[in-house]
Amino acid sequence: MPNILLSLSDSDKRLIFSLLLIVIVILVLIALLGFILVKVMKWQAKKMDTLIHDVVVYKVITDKKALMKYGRAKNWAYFFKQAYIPLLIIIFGIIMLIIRCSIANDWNYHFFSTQNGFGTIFWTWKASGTFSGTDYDLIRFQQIVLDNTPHLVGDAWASYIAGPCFFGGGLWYLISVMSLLSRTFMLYKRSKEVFEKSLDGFNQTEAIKQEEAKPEE
Amino acid sequence: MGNIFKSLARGVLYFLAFPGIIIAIAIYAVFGVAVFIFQFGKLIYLFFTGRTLFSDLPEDIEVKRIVESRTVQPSEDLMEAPQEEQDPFLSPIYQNDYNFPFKTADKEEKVEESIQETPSKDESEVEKQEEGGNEDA
Repeated sequence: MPNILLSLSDSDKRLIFSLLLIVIVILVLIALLGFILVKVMKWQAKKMDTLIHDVVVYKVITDKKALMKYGRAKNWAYFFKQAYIPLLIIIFGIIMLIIRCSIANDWNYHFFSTQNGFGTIFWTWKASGTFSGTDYDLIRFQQIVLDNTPHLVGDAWASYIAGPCFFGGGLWYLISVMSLLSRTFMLYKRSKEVFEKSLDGFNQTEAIKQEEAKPEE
Repeated sequence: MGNIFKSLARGVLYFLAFPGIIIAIAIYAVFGVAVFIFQFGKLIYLFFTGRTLFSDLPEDIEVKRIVESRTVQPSEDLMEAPQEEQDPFLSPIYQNDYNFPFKTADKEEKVEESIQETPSKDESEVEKQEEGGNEDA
């Protein structure tokens, strides 16, 4: 291994460095995404406190099981309120695709096709053959060739409507799902915390002594 | 410097936990569809019973009852003699009719004359005193 590293040419070192850089950037991006996800979920979990606050404060619910049942009913109703718009958007996209397929009588329609699908408005590349980026033939890469440049096709009208619907509605729906998940976690946490009885620092003998020491009224 | 390492460590932790978070969200996305269908069925059932999905649960009704019982009730005297609400349209209208004696080119002389004609308080008092003195003499 040291012999290989010593005999690396400048181009090899440059290639390894760029690969390392790409890996680090990907790691940082994933970590950033995870950080944002967790932050958003923590923020959304606070809604559960609002939903169950009154019944706990006014002692209408006094046990864990009842709180879980009540909280679940509230959580699901709130999720329905949050998720019906994105799901309607997705259903609208599906209806557009069904209309297109029924008009063209083509039920084998490929949504992401670069001929008459959503892929027509994107740059796409395809791999053909291999090449070696180094002097040694240790690392080989796929030869990447430009396959499609953005252009509009009349036959792909349904995919142009359905694509944004699927993407936007899907993202919106995922955010609602995340909030459902975070609220569920919070409900479970609260149901454990609110009715928790702790004996930390409690000494029965001391407590009896204190009671006896109190003057009788 | 410590904060940077802390952030980096947290980043690595999120990177490790990321697949787990994604899987959890994916499972919950499917579960969410089932919840949505169930809630939709419930919504239809509740519609025919004259309620909605967001109607108060028995616990909410109990909370409202407690809150209402805790609110301060008005005294009996106030209950018997409620204050008459004044109709805002019948409230008196105050109109200011005072006109400032603006000095214009036409009226400037008239205003000066009127000021000279009306004796000042001090002058009128002096005159009265003089008259009184003459009577005594």
